[in-house]
This record gives sequence, structure tokens and C-alpha cells, in this order.
Amino acid sequence: MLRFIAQRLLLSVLTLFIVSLVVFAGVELLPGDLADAFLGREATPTRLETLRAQLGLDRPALERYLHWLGDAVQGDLGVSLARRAPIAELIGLRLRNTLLLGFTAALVGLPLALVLGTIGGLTRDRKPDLWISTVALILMTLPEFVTATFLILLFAITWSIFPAVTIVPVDAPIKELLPNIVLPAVALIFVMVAHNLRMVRTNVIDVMASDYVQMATLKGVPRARVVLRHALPNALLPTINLVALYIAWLVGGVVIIEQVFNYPGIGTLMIQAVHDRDIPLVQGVILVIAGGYVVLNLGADLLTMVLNPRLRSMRG
Amino acid sequence: MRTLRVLFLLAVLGTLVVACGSTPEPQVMKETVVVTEKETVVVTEKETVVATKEVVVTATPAPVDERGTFRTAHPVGWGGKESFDPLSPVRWDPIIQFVYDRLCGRNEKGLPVPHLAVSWEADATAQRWTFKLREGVTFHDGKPFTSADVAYTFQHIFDPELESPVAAVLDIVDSEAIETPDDHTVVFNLESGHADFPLLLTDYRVRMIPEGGLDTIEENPIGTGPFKPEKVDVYGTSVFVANDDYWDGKPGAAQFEIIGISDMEARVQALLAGQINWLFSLSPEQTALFEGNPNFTILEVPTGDWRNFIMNVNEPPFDDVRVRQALKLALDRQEMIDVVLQGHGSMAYDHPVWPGDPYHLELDRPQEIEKAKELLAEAGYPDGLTVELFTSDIYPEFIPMAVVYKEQAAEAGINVEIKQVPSDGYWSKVWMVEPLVVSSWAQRPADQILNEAFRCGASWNETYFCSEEFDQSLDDARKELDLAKRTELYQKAQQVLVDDGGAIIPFFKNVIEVMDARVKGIPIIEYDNIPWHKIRIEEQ
Repeated sequence: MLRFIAQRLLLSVLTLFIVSLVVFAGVELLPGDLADAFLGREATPTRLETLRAQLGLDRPALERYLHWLGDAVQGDLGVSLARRAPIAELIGLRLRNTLLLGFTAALVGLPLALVLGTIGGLTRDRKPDLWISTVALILMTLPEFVTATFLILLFAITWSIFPAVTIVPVDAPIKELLPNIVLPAVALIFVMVAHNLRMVRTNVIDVMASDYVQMATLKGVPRARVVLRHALPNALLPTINLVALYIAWLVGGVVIIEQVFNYPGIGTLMIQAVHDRDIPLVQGVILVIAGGYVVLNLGADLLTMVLNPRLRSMRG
Repeated sequence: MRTLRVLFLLAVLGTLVVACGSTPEPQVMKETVVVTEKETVVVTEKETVVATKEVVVTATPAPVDERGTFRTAHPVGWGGKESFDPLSPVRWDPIIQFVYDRLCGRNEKGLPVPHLAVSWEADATAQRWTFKLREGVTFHDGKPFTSADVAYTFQHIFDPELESPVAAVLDIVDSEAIETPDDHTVVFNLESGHADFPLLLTDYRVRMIPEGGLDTIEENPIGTGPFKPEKVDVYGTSVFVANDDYWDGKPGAAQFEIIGISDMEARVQALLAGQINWLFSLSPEQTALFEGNPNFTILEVPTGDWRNFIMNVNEPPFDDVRVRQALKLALDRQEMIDVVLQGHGSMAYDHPVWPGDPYHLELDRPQEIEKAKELLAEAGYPDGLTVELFTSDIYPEFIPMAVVYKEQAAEAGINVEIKQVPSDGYWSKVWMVEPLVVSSWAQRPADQILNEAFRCGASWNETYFCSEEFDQSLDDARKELDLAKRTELYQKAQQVLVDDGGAIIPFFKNVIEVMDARVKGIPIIEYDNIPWHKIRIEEQ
């Protein structure tokens, strides 16, 4: 088992390493260099020269890569070209905000998905399931910005309950951020619940049809106990991985929701960085998001192993 | 080996912990933060002082009085332009208009009006200009505004290390010969006669800073303008307080807030929900959201912003003036406006001087397909010709313009092949490189635009046009002090462009402003000349 953990750890590190390579090489493949890209229309020969000297762009690519990676591992992701502030600092604040939004959505969304999915699975093809499945399908197909805009129209414009757009500063205390989280979180919850509940439902259906469940029912075990003690734990196991992926998606991929609501998170930082052609910042954000994915995936794998006795006794 | 890898992994995990964990305190400082060379990105040769993101200028915010707070949004992403120096190439635009003033402003007719200067006159050669300054004007810190401040500002403009974009605009001023005979008189000596010199001073960037102000400008920007900065946050919300001693009267709003919202749709939502009061420049689709809603007022403002098709007059087939004329005649301008701008524009006649400019030449240039075909036949293309038109999505009108022109030109036998290129690198690799390209310009007064875009050898002469007659008209016009004669000369220059030039200019854009119906006092004028102190919010 230890070897299994070690293997997964090494794979994670390898993944991060490859990501860093891709991120760095991608920039090298650009026509021109960092300085060209950033200065764009404002480029004059003097400015280009100064910027290049500042960033040390005359050194060979490999040397720059190792330097950058070495710094990154110590927590120094460099300095943002556009904002002239340390990147780690910029990311730190916004990561907090995105995590706040993400975990709120997950906290509400996951139990909801679980409950609804289970109900759907247990009442398969009957009224409750039909309702749940149809609504889930609709929510899954509607793009996030459509649901987001609709939510704003209803709860911010027609009835002024929540702010339409976030206008508090990035470093605002969490108390101030909270009213701004509601609508974006709801938009996220719609998507999360829709996807996850279908997974839960499928697993529940599968498990309820399995031999040991039939055995338990035939033995006379009360239905509730069958479901709660025997079926659900097995049904939920595969869901853990999906959930981990979703949380990772929340951290890195809520760009659309954050943009629509002007929420000061990692998503808007990424978009602004791309817009500003602030490549060191883009690279930093990608690394952090990739790191998040890897860690969460790793966590999911380990959790699955912990919860699943069968895996524990596997060779290695 | 394995230990090494595990250690490496721990280091990576450690990084993540650091990234997640650090939540630095917001920086509220009064003194400048100077970052060492290793960490700063210096874009000019002079060491740039790094401004902190939050600048608190007054210790406690003043309570907002009954005049209320006026709120608007800016698009963020100024790409490193965060300086509070109005003359700098990396100035932060949103702050400039509220905090600083110009010597002359511009009215709805495009003529210069007194701001910090109350009167001006030239000698007979139009080379020596005497400006009388307004008395009793003070900066936000109480210091009186005098000619010394003007001299200081101009020295700064011509500082070669600054690389100010304004230096080129005011090139004609002899920077060594600015005289300040007394506290309220400034004399400019120009290198050659220029009858419209005051118009040059109405450029939105030529704003006066206090003598010696550059040392503290980044953390304490001081001007004579209608609003004083209280809190400036380039990425979030900036707050400005009314300067009740403003020379043109107490501002109508007690406070201005300008909020950073990067997404266009999000800005529109914020306006719909009442989080902001005003937005300048909405697209026709977004405007539709506000039409018929009594809570909002929509204002349509004609501007001199133009888009055009450039022909390089040195490249065949465009080197034949008949071909150039044929391409211009194939254009149906009204249809362009109707389709591309949904009616929100005014007609241009292949010259860049807009109807709001005092020197505008009004013409009648409908589409003339038969004439176009004739000219092409004469030039040796009886069966029409094929041309490649380069465009990209850098501006929303660029691609629709190309598509509409393709249809129109086809009627005259001109087969336009549209080549859409990425917007990245458009201005360096396509514009002024390929022979037929879509281009765009912001509004400028007649003399400025004619010189910048069409004088032989000018760096942004995109059509590579070179006409002695044209250049001579411009030179003569500058020296001509009589308005009627000067108008004639500028119009002569415009006619040369129409007949001979390489630019096909179909329209000038209108801009649509939408505001909360309670907002009053905004005239129909372009953004740079809006009298911010006249804006007030009325309770309904």
C-alpha cells in the first residue's frame, strides 16, 4: 500500500513537472518573446531593450527555465509585468476568494447532488426520478453564463436582493464578500448538482441491482438499512473521483462565472493576465491551478483507497 | 533517487501551501515604495517608482453630502499603465480627467474655450502666442496656480526620458523659449506659425501639474481639477471627492466613484442593477436593454472616430489614381452605416475631418457603380479586378465592414478577397505592410489628423500618400490667421485627399451613452470634453 501511495505521489510530481515544461515551452514558441508580447503596440526599440535586460531574456531558454522552476518551488513565482507586484501575492488573495466561492458551492451542491441522486436512483423511472432527471438535464445543457445572467436578472435587477456584480476590493474581509458569493455560487451549484446527481443516480441503480443488495433484502433487512448501510457506501465510492475533479474545476475553471459577476478570483486574474499579455502571471496562475488539480486528484485517490478495503489489500 | 523525488514533491506541496496561505495585509501607505532593480519591471530608462495599488491621500473619508455619489466603471486591464502623471505614456486614464485641467477646453463646435487660460492672442506671424491665465485658481493643496506651473509642465512634456506622447503633438513649440513675464502670463514661441495653436492645447492629455509636483505625483496626485483623489485603486474602486473651490463652481456631485469591472457585460449588468450610474460607449445590442425603460436615459453622441480602408498608393493596382477613385465610388456609405453601425454614425467622404470640426468639408458622394466601372476600364481593367483586403476582429466594425464592402464592390466588378488575420500583431505585421487593409483612428482636430495621417513622410501615414500640393496647403493654412481663408485652405487639402488619396473613409462613429435617469448635466459631447463638475444626481 505504501508503494501505491509513493507511486501516486511520484506521478503527481511528474505531472506538475510536465505542466511546467509545457507552460514554459509554449511561451518560447511564440513569435517574438515576452517583451514583444507584453509591449505590443507600445513597443519602441529602447523599451524592448530595457525590458529584455530587466527580465534577463538574453540568457538561454534552459537556464531561464531552471531558474524559474527553482524559484517557483520556493514560492516565488516572479513579478507581474503589468501590475509590478509579486505574483504569489496576487494569486494568494484571489485564490482565497475563489476557494471561498468554490467550497461554498461544493458544500451546498454535493450533499444536494447526493440526496437528489439517491432519490432518483431509488425511485427510478417513477415521478420523483423523472422530475429530477429532467431538471438535471436542462441545467446541464444550459451554459453557465445563461443561468448566471438569468439569476442576475431575477435576483439583482427585478428584485434587488443581491448585488449584480461584485464591486468589493480583492482583499475585502470575508464578511463583505459573502453577499456577493450567493448568486455565483447558485450558478455553480446548478451545474455541479446536475452532473453529480446523474452519476450518483447511475451508481445507486447499479448497486441496488447487485447480488448482495438482493441478498440483504431477501434476508429481511429493512429497506432504509439496506440503502444506507450497504448500497450507498458502494455507490458513492466512484463518485469521489468525480467530485475531486469538480472541486479542481471549481478552483481553476470558474472563469466564466467569475467574469460575469466580476468576482475577484483566480478566473478573472487569469483573464486579465491574458488580456494584458502578462505572461509571467499567466504562467504562475497555470502552475497553481495545475498544482491544485494534481493535489485534489491525489487526495481523491488516497481517499478512495482508504474507504475501499478491497484496494487496501491489493498487492503493493 | 526516490528520496530526492519525495523531497522534490514536498517542496512543491510546500509551494502550494504558501500560495494558499498567504493573505497579505492591504497596503495603505503614504510613502512611495521603491522596489529594487531585480524585482521591478522598468519600462522607461529612468527608474520607475512602483506605485502601490492603494493610495490613501486623506486620513478619514469625508461624509458624502446631499449632492450624492456619481458612480461609473472602467474596463481594468490598462496593461501596466498606472501612472498618475497625465503626460506620461503609461498614465492611468480614468484619473486624469477628474484631477487635472487643461489650459483650453473644447466646446461642442470643436473650438477652444478658456479653462485655465482665459484669453490668448498671436502676433502677425502666428508664431508668438501670449496666453493670459485665470486668476484665483488654486491646486488641491491650496497653492495658487501660476505661469511657473505651466512652464514646469511643459519642461516635463519635452523631457526626452519621459517619451511623452504629447511631445509629438506639441512639437511645434520651441521648448527652450517659453516665457513667463508675470504670474498670469505665458508666452509660447513656436518654431513656425500656427494659427490654430490653442487647438493643440485642447488635447486631453495636456494637463497642468504643479511646479515640483513630479516628486510626489504617484502617491499624492495634485491638480486644479474638479475632483480630488481620496482613494485610488487601479483594479478596484477609486474614490474622488469634490473640489468645492473649483474655478468653474462647486461640482454637482459630492463624490465620484470609478469601479474596475473588466467584463463588458458585467458593466452593463451593474448599470441595470443600479450599482453604477453611467456608462459611455455601449454597443447597439447592449443599448437595446435600456430602450423604453424610464429609469434610464440614452444619449447618442456623434464623434470623429473613424474607420477606413487603406490603399497603399505605391503598390499596384492602387498606384493608379483611377483605380483608387473606382474603389471609392463603389462604396455605398449610407448602407455601411446602416449595416455596420446599425445607423449610429455619420457619413465621411474619404477625408478624415468630421462634421463637428470647424474645417469640415461637406460633400455628396453617393455610390456610382457605372462611373467606377468606366474608370477601371480606362485604367486597364475592363473585366474588373481582384484585390485582397486584410482585416481582423480587433474592433467590432472591422469584419462587418469588409464583408459589406465586398458585396458593394462586386457590383463594380471588383472582386474583394477577404483575408482575416489574428488581431495579435495586426498593427505591426499587417497595418502599413499589406496594400489593402482595414484601419481605425480616434477623433482629432483637422490640422492634427491631416498632418498625422497624410503628410508626406509622417510615421503614421498609412497610405504612403505624398503630395506637395497637400503639404503646402497645410503649411499655408497654419500660418493663415484669417479664419475664412484658413478654412478654404484646409478644405482644399481635404479635396486633394478625396480626389487623389489612398484612404476610403465611409463613416464616423456615434457613441451611445446610457445613464440612470436621475443623472443630469451631461451634454452631447465627446468623452474628453465632458464637464465633470456639471454632473449632478437629482432625486426623483
